Amino acid sequence: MNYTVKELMVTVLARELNDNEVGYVGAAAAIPLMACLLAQRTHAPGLILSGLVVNPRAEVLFPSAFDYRYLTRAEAWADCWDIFVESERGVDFMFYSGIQIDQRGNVNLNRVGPKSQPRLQGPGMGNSALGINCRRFYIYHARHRKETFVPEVDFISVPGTLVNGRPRAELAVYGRGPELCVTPLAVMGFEEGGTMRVKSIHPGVTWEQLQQNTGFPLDSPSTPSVTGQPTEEEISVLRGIDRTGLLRSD
Amino acid sequence: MIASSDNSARASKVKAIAEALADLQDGAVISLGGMTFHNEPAALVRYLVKRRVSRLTLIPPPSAAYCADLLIGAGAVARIYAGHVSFEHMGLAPNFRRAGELGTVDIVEANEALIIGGLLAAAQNLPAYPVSSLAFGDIGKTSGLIKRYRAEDGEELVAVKALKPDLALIHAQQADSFGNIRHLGGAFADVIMARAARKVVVSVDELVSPEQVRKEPWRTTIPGYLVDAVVELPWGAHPAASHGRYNYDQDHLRDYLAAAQSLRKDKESASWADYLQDYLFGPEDLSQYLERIGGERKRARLSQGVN
Repeated sequence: MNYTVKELMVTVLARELNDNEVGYVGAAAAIPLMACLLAQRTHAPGLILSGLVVNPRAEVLFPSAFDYRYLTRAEAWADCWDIFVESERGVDFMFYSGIQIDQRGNVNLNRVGPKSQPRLQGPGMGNSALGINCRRFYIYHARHRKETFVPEVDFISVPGTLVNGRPRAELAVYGRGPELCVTPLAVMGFEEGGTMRVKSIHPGVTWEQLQQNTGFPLDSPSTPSVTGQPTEEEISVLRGIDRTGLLRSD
Repeated sequence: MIASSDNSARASKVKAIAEALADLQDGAVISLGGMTFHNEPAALVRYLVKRRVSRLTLIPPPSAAYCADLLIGAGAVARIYAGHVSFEHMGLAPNFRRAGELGTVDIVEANEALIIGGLLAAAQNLPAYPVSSLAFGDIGKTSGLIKRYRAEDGEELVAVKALKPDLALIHAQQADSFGNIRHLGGAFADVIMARAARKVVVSVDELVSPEQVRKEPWRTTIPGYLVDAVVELPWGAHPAASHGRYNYDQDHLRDYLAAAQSLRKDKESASWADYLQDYLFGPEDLSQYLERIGGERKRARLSQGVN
């Protein structure tokens, strides 16, 4: 089966989502958006993709999350009041990416360096409330590099396994935080209140390659498993929607 | 023709752009409607740049793009309450990024919860609005906008202080002369901004009759009493999309991004100066602007599949 690494990331994420769950994907998010659409067309027909457009029946994957063409066959339209309320009330899942991601699953989309003189001014995080209030979230990044995967983020846009320095379990009402971190090299999981651990390495990727591109020591299982490859059905469904090949480029 | 049930003496809110924005002062707090490059009040914002308004405070939508970045690049902004500012798949917002790295604009690290909570407080004449999620993480920490209230029984509420815009600039698709606004797609934070701001100016792609509005009242998204002025500006969201009317102009946005990025290497960049000249200071009115961006052919292409 021929597939790109982005398509692999989509299938890994899609398999995590359950039937009848409600989730959000955020802006500029072709990978998680496609994961939801794929899950709906395979094992989770009742999954609801919410946001400013509720449950688009997208026939084509568009690069902008707010594209009008997502609205035309949706089940409902929402505005920022709906999103604001839903983000405090909580949903099942959300996806986050960042300019820095650390071993505790903290995500930084705001800045690298001090506020007075950042080395990189990031775009900032539109919705970070769901990192607190949704049941679980998935971290993903289209590049796995040392500069991104750092021991400690410079700014916490979305808190990971610890919230304000405390394990999430101590703040019982809130979401349980990062579930997985999916990159072009591997799938990482998180222990409650703890740090990132490798769950599986993608086919063809070596442990050395993964460790070299990560800015903190990774926990090495004795025999790291290999990430399950996309099936023919998954790839065929996915490409039927990604007609312009947004996920075909590496 | 159906006879109007409205008194013929009822005043029209349709104004020319100069009249609608005549009382705007330097240092004003301005809210921008839309979301990233969708339904942006782009023509209204270009007019502000032409008028060389300065020291603005921006309350953009939770995800902002062209209008916020252009105002920053033109040197019109002193402070921005920034959630997400980017051009989504096209990349970072160059002027926003540069302003953050050089410290030329006060970037208040905000998010959707802080911006919408702050606007809801203003809309309800409250000093602050409770938002539990703002107690966690770093966003809002240095904003000076987070307040903690403690009840007599010791229970604590975290809230965001009111964000009150002097002016909301909004782009929608249709309005009647009494200021009743109709969005034909997403309304984003526009309705909240219209309730929060002291003054509301809406540009629309087309005017419809009050009779049309009364025939389909469920389609009115912002009732006219909240609106101070309607400016008829067909294609007034360009280069952003206007939902249900035209798509965003990706080629133009990429040219914009290239011009803005050139400021990184050279702060006197000729290509940025050219962009401002070609699309802001050069065209005398909207019709000249529309010719400059590619005329009828460009408009036909952008309309395909979205109206």
